[in-house]
Amino acid sequence: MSAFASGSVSGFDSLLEPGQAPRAGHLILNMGPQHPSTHGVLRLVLEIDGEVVVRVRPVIGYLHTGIEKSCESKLYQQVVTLTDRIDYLCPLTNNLCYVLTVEKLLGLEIPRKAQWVRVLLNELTRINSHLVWLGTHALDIGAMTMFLYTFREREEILKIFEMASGQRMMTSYFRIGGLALEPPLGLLERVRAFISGFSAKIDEYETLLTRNSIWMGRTRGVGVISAADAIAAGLTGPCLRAAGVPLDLRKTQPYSGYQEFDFSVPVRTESDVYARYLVRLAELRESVKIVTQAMAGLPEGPFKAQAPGIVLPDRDKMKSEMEALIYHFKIVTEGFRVPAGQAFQAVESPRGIMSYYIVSDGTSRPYRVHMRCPSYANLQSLARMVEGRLLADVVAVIGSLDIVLGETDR
Amino acid sequence: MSAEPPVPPAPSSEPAPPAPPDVVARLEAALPGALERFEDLRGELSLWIHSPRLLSVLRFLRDDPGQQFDLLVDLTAVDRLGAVPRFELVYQLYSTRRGVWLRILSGVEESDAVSAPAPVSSGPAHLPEPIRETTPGPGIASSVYSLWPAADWFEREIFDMFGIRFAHHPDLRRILMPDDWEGHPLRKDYPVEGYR
Repeated sequence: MSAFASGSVSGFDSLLEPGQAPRAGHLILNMGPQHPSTHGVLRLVLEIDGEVVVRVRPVIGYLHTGIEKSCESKLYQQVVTLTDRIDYLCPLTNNLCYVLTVEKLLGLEIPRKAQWVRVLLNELTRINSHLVWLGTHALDIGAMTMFLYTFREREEILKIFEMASGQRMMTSYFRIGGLALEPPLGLLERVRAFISGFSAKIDEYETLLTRNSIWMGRTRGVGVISAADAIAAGLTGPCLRAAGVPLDLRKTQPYSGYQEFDFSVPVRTESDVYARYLVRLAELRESVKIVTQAMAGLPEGPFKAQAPGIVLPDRDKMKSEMEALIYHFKIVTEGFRVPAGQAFQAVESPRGIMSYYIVSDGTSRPYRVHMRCPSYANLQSLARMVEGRLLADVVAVIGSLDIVLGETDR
Repeated sequence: MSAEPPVPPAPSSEPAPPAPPDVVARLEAALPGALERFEDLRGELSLWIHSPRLLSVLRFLRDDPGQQFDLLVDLTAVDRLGAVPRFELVYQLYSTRRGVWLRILSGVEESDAVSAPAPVSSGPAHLPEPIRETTPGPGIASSVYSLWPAADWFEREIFDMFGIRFAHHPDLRRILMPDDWEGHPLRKDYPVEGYR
């Protein structure tokens, strides 16, 4: 304890001033960065009084890879592959947000078919992300069975992604101007087979948890934050909707054709861990509705925009037309110029508002790319949710925030 | 949520100069001289604000019953190396009640002192002292933490990546890079491979 008293223990810096000691009876506790319930490499420095958390300070940056800096030296179309690597649970949402921002700068019109496939795959991404959240969140609180069931369904979604893009996780399927490839034959049948049985799977999850007294005991009334505090702290996504604010950008600022889909925005008012669980489960059902509509009404037509010089030409045209070959060569070797200016695009990711802000200086490489990642902003609310609560609640609240550290640290 | 906000009007791409959006007129009336210029392009409204007036403009936008920009969605910076002022702060505001976006931009001048390594503190050797600036100036912007607590980590990230300090920020330390890191990686004169 003498090391604590002198305040010189390496790494406890973020909670104590140099030379300052913890208050009498209080203990400074380190949690993470290698801790199973912190979903990656989140580190928390906690000041506890017995079992009660007095203060908590998240320490992040262990996964920082400098993606924003890397973007500045890549061609616009190369950045798409970097956006996959921000968040391993929703690469397609990151792809979408990035390409929408660049398309805004370019003033590109995207064919309806591409927009609908983007919506379809984005909602599958939301299901994928929520499944991993549900499995790991329940695992943290002690309901291990859940994890096995949700990963069973997630595996099928990853196979669908692999079918469309050739990759299970690092998809890069959306390109500036449309899609990378024509959606393969049999994709819709596979999605239909999955989605038709999925509602019954959600019922299974609900049987295991929704009225489970241990689950309710661990989550109800835990991690409460008022709607006003949540907005001031920048909390968005299912956590904000569980606090009674019906903010969903798919409804309020529709992008990529979301205005054509019929779905509702689940809202709760309790603003506790249990309410966030209910909101996300309801969102799974809404995503099923959107995917079903997207399959039923999938428009015919081209899957990429008519924009020679920006969108790669078809393979067969390259073998018969000289212009196509020249465009292909130029796009691959030197990229394309994007008009100078700045653009901002926000989308509703599974975790909240995700936005890209891109500054172009008129060259073929972005001058600045900034991602606003929902995990980064949402994690700031952790202290407001757990201070004054029990230490065991910290694990439940982290799970309910649904953070991805790759996205937090970028 | 009602998605039919009356202001600002939808931007038009007609060649005729569109009337300035309502928020611009209201801002000019409430805080004359604070607005440097505005741009209404691609459905995005951007206002450039003179930096000494930034905090009062943002407070007006948050508190005025006609504006109600209650959500600070994003705050970042751009290094316009060679321009004066060198840095540009970018605030993306959203009103959850009215369902509209607004972008606020404001310059921050470069300061030589900002490039210097963190001062050596009297505490443990590896820890720089928390920075407690109180007045905006070259290299120092006003913190909006008092308006939106969400700004806490955004401003720490800007300090970390660009070396811009924020007056009245409660806890201005590096957030993504290690505490003893030298330099600010997102500056344009910082090499992609880092200093060797």
